Amino acid sequence: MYKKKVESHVIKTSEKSLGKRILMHRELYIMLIPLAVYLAIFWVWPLYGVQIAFRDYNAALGFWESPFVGFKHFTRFFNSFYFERTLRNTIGINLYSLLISFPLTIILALMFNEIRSQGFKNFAQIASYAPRFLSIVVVCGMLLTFFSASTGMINHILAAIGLERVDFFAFPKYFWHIYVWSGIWQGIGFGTIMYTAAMSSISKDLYEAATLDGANRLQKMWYITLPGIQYVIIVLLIMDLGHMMSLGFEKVLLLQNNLNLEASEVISTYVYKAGLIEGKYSYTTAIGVFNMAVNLLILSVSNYTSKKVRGIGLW
Amino acid sequence: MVTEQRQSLPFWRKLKYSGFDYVNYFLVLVFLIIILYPLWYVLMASFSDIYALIDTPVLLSPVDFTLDAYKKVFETNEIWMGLKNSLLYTACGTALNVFMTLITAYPLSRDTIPGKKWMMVLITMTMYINGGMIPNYLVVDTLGMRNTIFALILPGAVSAYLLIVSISFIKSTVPESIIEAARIDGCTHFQTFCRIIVPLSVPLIGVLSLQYGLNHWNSYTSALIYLDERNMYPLQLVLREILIRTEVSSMMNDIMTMSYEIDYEQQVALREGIKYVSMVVTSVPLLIIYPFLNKFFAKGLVLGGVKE
Repeated sequence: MYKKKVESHVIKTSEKSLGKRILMHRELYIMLIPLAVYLAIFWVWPLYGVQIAFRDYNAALGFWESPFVGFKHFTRFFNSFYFERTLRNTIGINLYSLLISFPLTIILALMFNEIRSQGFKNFAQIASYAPRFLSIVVVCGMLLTFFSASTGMINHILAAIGLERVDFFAFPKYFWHIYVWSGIWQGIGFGTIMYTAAMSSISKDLYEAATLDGANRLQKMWYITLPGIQYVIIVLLIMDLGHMMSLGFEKVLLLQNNLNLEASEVISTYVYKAGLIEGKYSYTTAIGVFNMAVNLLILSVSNYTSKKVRGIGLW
Repeated sequence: MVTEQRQSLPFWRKLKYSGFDYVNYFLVLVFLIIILYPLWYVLMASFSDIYALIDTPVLLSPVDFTLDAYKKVFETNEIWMGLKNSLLYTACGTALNVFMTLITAYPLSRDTIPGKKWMMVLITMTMYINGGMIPNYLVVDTLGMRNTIFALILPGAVSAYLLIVSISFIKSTVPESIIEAARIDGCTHFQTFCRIIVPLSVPLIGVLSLQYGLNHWNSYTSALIYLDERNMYPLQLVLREILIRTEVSSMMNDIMTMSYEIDYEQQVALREGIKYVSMVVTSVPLLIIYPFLNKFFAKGLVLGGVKE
């Protein structure tokens, strides 16, 4: 009886005019007011403020009244010494990290999936998440103490096997490796969750049929498990590519020092220092705009390519 | 799936492990050692004499057991103050986050609301387009929120990603018929929300609280940008002074001042000891709790993925 009522209610709803429908849902709109206020203040207003990238921002004049200067700040950044350095480090570290961590995460997920004892599987998965729950400050603190020249574990080991002690954070050449591999150490376990979830939803019949056809474990992995998670792989890859130009400044800022700046200055740390510490607001907003534009471009291109090639995309 | 398949086999087949399994178990074990050993090392080093560590680089149990560094850390006011601030920021921030996310997710989970499609597009856009660090800072500054708790909890009050997760959760777990029945019985949308959606979304509230709570607890960047007053520092900024900016930090000097009667070598040892101990005391609570809450973390992640 209820069902009938519901159906008639729904039909009536869609027949009413837009104004009436909005009035009917007024309570729901009232519930959306907190979000609207929040977005207006902390999303739209800063977006409106982005125009200072094209102006010489003056706090007394505000966003709109500051003098218009066109692309001055953009050309200044493109011609500056920092453009090449920050761009190279940002993209280099991201690409290095993606090329190593992306396949490793999938391999680890496959390894977890092949564990036959359910108890050990759960234990291994949960234990591998542990570093994810450390704060970035603690992880960087661990790195700095482990790699410390005089008191660090790594150097104690080097000394014990008769090698020279090395002050790893004093040389640019070690920075990328330490940054990327510590990131993998922290994130790889947690990164497998999406894959193992996708693997557990692959139909068992496929594996049984393959067994009957005489496929071995590696073949089943290659021909059933991997194609079964192809959708997740592509979506995660596009999302990672979309962040190619943004490297959070949290971790870099903690690990960098004046000696390794050559390899460690990335766009976000440069924006933080030049913008918030030196007060070059317009200049660094311009850098931010450039950064976001490139990110969106990469995201769109990879989404478009994946749609063409595989028919899978974010939108 | 493999286990279920095996249950249909006779018992002697269940025990048969192939070479493939042995290789796989070995690799997983090696991997687990790489992941867990650094954590174990920090824990053991926190109980050890720092100079004894030089001769025993591979540490399985404490060498020259000592609790000096623990005593020093527990005497330190800064860490307790940071802990108190972090608890406050995390509790207020998470409560606001969960409230904002739930109250928004309910109307957006109704398909009948006009303009829903556009609102979803807008929310997705906030994930990829934003003003960036400097305009955000200028807005917070204009509002006079620097050096207040509001600068830490109001920007980022809703995560677009977790909002989308919540919408798909409500859609998939709260049966449409219950909501319709409540509406027909005369419940307003507010009543439906309070009496039906919230009680049925307890697992979702768990997922949200943990995700938001962990982010607040572990973040230091907004505090770094918006707080100048040291007595407002959250735990992570205090840790940064102790662990990262050891040489320039006045906080480390404050901790060390009481120790001038000891010689230089002992000071270095104590300073390193304090680092290990502060890493341990701030991380151990979370590392003990998370295995029990694990299903909430995993669920949040997977739910979001299903939607895409």
